[in-house]
Amino acid sequence: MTQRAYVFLIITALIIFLYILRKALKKEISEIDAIIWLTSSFLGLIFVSVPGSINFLLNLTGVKYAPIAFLGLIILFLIIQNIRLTTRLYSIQKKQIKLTQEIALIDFNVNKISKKAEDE
Amino acid sequence: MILQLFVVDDYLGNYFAWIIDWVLMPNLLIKFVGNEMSRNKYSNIISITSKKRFEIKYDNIVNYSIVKNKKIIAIIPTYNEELSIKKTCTDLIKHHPNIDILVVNDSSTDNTAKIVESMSSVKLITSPINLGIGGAVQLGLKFAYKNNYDVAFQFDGDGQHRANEFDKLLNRLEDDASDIAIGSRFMFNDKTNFRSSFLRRLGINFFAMLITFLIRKKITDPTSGFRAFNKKAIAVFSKNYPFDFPEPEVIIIAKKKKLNISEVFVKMNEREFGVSSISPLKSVKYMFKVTMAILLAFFRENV
Repeated sequence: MTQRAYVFLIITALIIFLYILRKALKKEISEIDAIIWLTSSFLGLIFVSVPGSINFLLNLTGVKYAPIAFLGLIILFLIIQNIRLTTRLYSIQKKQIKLTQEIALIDFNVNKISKKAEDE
Repeated sequence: MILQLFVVDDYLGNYFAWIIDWVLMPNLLIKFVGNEMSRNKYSNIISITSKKRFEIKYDNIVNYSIVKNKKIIAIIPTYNEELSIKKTCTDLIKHHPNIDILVVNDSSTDNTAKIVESMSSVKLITSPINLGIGGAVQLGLKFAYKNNYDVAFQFDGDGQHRANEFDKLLNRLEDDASDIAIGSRFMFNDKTNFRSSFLRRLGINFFAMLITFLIRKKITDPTSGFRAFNKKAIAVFSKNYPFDFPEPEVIIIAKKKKLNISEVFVKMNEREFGVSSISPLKSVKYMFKVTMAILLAFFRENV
């Protein structure tokens, strides 16, 4: 890896880490998501900052060609995250529908009472 | 005198309304028995009925119970149906003045809500955001459940369903101990009935075969949105109604919840205004998705 690419990767990892940190501090993402993303972006920052660290770790598991394995791990992580978010999204959708239905029913009753009051 | 018409099947139900009109007996006991009947038998029964008309005496009549003691609601889920909703509601009021009509306005962007508001005898619930057909029907069922209705009809706002077919579904709930009665266009090969495009029919037949195989009960029109739910079914589906492809999934869920489902032959109209939410081009995609949804609903543990 050239020195320029190395610097570029570190800066990118740092930006991602700071971006997520900012989101977490502003409470724009939930605690559990903040923990997952901060941990993973911090690990990413370490891996790009310390040359050979990925090779070292992957060699421990017996992997021969580190870059592909690393890429595979990232894809796996993203798939798991995607499934987790899909599940949460569905749960939120169900809650949203239920809430909307309750609001609609309450609204109906309020209108009914208002009309009755007007008539009286 | 009690008049009992032991009529074999749903077919007569087509003419149920006008037989009642003929005899003008609010408390007439009419009993439907059996499930199978050919077209020939049907015409015989009608002729017998016409003769009977002149023999009926009006004293000491016992009970025509189907509508009398039931609290019934027709749920009409609508989304931008300003062109057809008034006619749909007017037809319903004309044919069934004693049942409540609830229009669930699924956050329409046109004048649907205003039109319904102008009809004093129609109840209107407006959802603040678009819920989709499943969410809208469930909202209606929740209303029915909370207000203790005995029977809830699901009825399209686009004019496809006929108000004079209600009795057939009601009869089925009463006589057949069914919890859900589905109005089917395809129970008999009636060429005069509106049956939608070939591609759609192909899809519907496929779903029908799949569901029939899965639940071991013959279903011919699993996508029909003309349905009647009894109190037990209202309670089940007000709590848990599928959102994405509700009609076929409801049948599977009903079976898993041990509810009795049956079909009744009904006639339907072609929709006069607007377009169906499923365009022919999307049919294949829709078929795949619905098939998956049906299978998922079948294999899912908690439905």
